[in-house]
Amino acid sequence: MDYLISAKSVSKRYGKKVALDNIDLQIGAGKVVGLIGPNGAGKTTLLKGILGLAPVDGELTVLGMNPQRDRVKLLERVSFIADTATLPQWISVRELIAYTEGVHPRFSRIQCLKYLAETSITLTDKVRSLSKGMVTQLHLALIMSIDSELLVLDEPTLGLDILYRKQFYENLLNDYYDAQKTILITTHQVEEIETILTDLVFINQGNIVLDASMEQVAAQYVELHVDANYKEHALVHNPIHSRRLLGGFSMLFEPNEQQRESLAQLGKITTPSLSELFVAKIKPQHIAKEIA
Amino acid sequence: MFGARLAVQLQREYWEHRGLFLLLPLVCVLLVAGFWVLAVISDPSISQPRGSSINVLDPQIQEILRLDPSTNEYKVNFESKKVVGFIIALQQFMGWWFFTAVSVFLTLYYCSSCLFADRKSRDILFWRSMPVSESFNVLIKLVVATASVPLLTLLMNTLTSMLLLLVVCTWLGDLSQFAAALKSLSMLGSYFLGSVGLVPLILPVFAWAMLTSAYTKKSPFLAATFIPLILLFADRFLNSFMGINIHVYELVKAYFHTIADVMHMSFGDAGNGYVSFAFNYSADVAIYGVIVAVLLGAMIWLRNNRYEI
Repeated sequence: MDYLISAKSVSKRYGKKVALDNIDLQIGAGKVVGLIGPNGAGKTTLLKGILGLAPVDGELTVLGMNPQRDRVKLLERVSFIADTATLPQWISVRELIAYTEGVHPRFSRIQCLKYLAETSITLTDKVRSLSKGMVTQLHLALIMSIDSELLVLDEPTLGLDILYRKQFYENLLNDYYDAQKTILITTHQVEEIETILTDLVFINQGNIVLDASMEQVAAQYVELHVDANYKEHALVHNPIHSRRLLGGFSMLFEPNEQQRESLAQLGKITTPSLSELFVAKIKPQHIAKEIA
Repeated sequence: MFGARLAVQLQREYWEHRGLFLLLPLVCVLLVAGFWVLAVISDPSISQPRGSSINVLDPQIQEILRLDPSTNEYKVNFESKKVVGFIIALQQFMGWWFFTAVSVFLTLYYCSSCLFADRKSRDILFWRSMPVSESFNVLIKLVVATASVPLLTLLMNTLTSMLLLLVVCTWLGDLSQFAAALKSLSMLGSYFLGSVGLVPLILPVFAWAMLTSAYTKKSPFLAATFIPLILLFADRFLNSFMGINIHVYELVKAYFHTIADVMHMSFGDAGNGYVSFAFNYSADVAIYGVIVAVLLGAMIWLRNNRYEI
């Protein structure tokens, strides 16, 4: 299979600090991938490597190209929003469109104007006169008007209120995404993106700790809501994470078929939320001590 | 695509720095034109300092300047049909020196901020999401700096001349001189060529300012000016107190001497309607070209490899 992004033994060091530690990652076309990790996990470093913004060691190809060496060619097929507030303050909307049209061969002015018509942004507005939410709308309109194969979003909704955050992802899915396009998103607000992801990558301390499709996650992990009386029975199955609930516990398991049947008899089994799974994978516990 | 990319990159520089390239020069034009208008309508007395190059025996000058026997000073003869042309030619000659200095200062400021502002505001994240190489980006900024000195000087001097011409003709109530005085605007072409000849010699300074703007984390303009000054003082200090010569002072002196020679020669000749560079200009330009290329390489490397976004 041809991967859109292929990383083999990719590393990056800043002096003594290891930002990426020999990671392997493959991402195919038509996926919406969440790259999730705590602060300093190596997410942005990995994205910088993928976008050719910083050199990394190891073998990294994006759309078959070396991102560092072929950055300009690559950016004709890859778009990214690094941060919502990074549009130049001094520029007007009209100038921004003219600039993007001038430098980007895959940009459609008509498409962009169509997206902007659905907002209250006018062509004569300066970016500095727009609210943060409107700047995000403008940035997204620009990026969605580029017919790129890979869209990289690094904390795209940081600092936005809930209305704009929801609208952002709605627009992204309804107006941009199709089977030919791949979206790679990093965010701390995992609960907002879990419904749109097809694949999930957890990264911590420069290592990939989980790389699975959402179907695999649903098949591989279960969350058990267990009554306090059955706590000891549940602990026998080695939960990977647990927390107290009113009158009981919530425990996360990576069970085999046999264990799954046993767990079903102890309480209510559900697919864990991404935030639960994230905490379980990123912050290992001494379970017995935690819930004693 | 390359043409469109080039045009829009140049436009971007104008959009970003329109205050520097349009508003400030216009303010400058208004101030200078105002100064000239005041000077003309105040009926100035002109005394000829010792060593002055004004040849008062020249019949043309005698027609425009008249000796006032009571004060032994010259007065402008506003009845002469050539007086407006004379005023405009004088303004152009003096204005060229002044506007060149202003243009160099504005361009120096542009150079010391052009690779800094986008890093400071994090706009660089947006610019780097576009398929434009840093080499192209840096080269465009150098092209803008190169073109700015002659173009800004030409723009400011032309506008000042036109403004002064209109005001003086209106004030004299003699619009017939307007067409005659327009001929003196042709001198602007010679001055423009003089400025073009000056640019290759100033480029190393501009490239140095751009390098500091690509490198420093704050106050690039101060860094661009203070680092050479510190080196200069260090040279003088070492030379005076320890007898060590690191040759910075001699280099700077030779550099400015070359620029002064070129300015004197090109502007002096431009005033006579032609431009010539009669000394070893090409050797200097070649050396400065190498310096600019090295600084340019350093800028591009910094933009590509600096790990700060």
